[in-house]
Amino acid sequence: MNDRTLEESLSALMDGETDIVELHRVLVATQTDLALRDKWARYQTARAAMHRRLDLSGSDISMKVAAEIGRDRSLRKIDSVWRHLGKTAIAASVAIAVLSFVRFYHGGADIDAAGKQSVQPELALIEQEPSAPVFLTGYRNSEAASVFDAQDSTGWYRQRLPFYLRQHAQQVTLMSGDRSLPYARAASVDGAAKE
Amino acid sequence: MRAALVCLFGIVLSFSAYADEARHWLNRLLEAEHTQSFQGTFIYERSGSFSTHTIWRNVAEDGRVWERLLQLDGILQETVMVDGVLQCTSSPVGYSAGEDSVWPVHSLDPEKLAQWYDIEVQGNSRVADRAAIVLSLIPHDQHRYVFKVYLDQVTGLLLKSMLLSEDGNLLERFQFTQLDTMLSAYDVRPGAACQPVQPISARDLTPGAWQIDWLPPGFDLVTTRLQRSSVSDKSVAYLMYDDGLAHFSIFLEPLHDAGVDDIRSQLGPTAVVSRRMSTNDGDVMVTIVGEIPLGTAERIALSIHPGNADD
Repeated sequence: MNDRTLEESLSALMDGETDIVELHRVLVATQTDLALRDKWARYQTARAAMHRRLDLSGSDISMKVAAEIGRDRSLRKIDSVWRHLGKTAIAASVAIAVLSFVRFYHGGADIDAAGKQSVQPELALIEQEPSAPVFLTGYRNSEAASVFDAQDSTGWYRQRLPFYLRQHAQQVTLMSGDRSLPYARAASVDGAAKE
Repeated sequence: MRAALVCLFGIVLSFSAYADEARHWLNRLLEAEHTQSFQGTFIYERSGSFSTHTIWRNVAEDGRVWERLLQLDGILQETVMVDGVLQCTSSPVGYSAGEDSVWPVHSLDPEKLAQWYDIEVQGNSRVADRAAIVLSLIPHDQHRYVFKVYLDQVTGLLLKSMLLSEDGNLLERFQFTQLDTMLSAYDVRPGAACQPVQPISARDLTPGAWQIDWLPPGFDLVTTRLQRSSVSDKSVAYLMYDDGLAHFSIFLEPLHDAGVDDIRSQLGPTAVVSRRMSTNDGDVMVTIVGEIPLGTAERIALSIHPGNADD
């Protein structure tokens, strides 16, 4: 075995027919002998071709590993965009489902022919209304002015405020789409001032 | 993934559909105000007042809207308006005339309203034995009140409205108890109790006569005039602002040494704030009257001062 040339030892190594001493000799030689390394690569290529496992990239393994890592990173990025979009869509779908349910609940109660359920939305709304005290008293004398009596020692406001309030309401009547409401506001000042 | 995109697209469409529905109903209200004749009975309620009224509204062939209102309780009070302009009333003293307005009359503008209020459909309801759609108009800031309106689903007419303060207090309630849109005729002829309105002399207010340094956002000037006081022969400057839904008026009346204190009060939905102001021609009382929060009215009153123009 010691008589073989390095090339013969290389070929024997390909076939697994070297002893440890010869293997050591080949490994040491390939560290410095570029031609021998090149031949080793060619032998490998030939064998791979015979076994149909050819990789013609010809690059160093370290470069190949780096390329593999890079490819994986960009894939991960694309994946996360779609994942994020998907999560947003799911969350939004849930939101719209809730909204639709609420809308349907308010609207659906109208369908009941008995009419009882149609009262429920109104009741629900009444519950939401503030429980303000309802004044069922009649008119009070000069109500518009009486509110300010404590501050109106000269009577300046008593003379003018009913006019100011009426004119304001009347101007709103002229301007706004619905006129009954501003009219009613003015009337509430009027009637009070007259009794 | 395609399904997710479709979902997203549908969500965007749905939200815009809700906003569109609210706008659709406001447009229907607007149309009804100009085209729908009816007769109805309504109540109006605020702190310290509860009254009932009947209204007949007839849209004539020429498009003019005649309205006759009769108060059903207390002293007989009858009012007739044509296109919102007062024609006659049972107590004409103190009312300003049905003068031709030089300012364009602008009615409800849903687009403008949407800048300052969130307008949403709340659901269905029933008012005056009629199916109603409920809209809420929630202000974007603290300078206006919440409006809740109930519109007739068949005609779009306003059946009920509530004005609510920021902390949920009910400031006023307006509600029809009966509505009839199927009559063959609507009697809008005034009775004997309705007396013609006498004009109050008025002229244009000099532009720049008064300067207002701060106004709540979204409120535009809609009318100004210089009119004769109802009490004396003094001239009172009058300005009105609105944001499409809320309104406030400013009165500037000379005091001429009268010892009058500032006031700050609320009459149901209406704030009344006054402030004594010094000018070159003597003291003037500035009074703000409007359906806006008291704090906002105060701030406006504090920001008014004489302008450069001489009035």
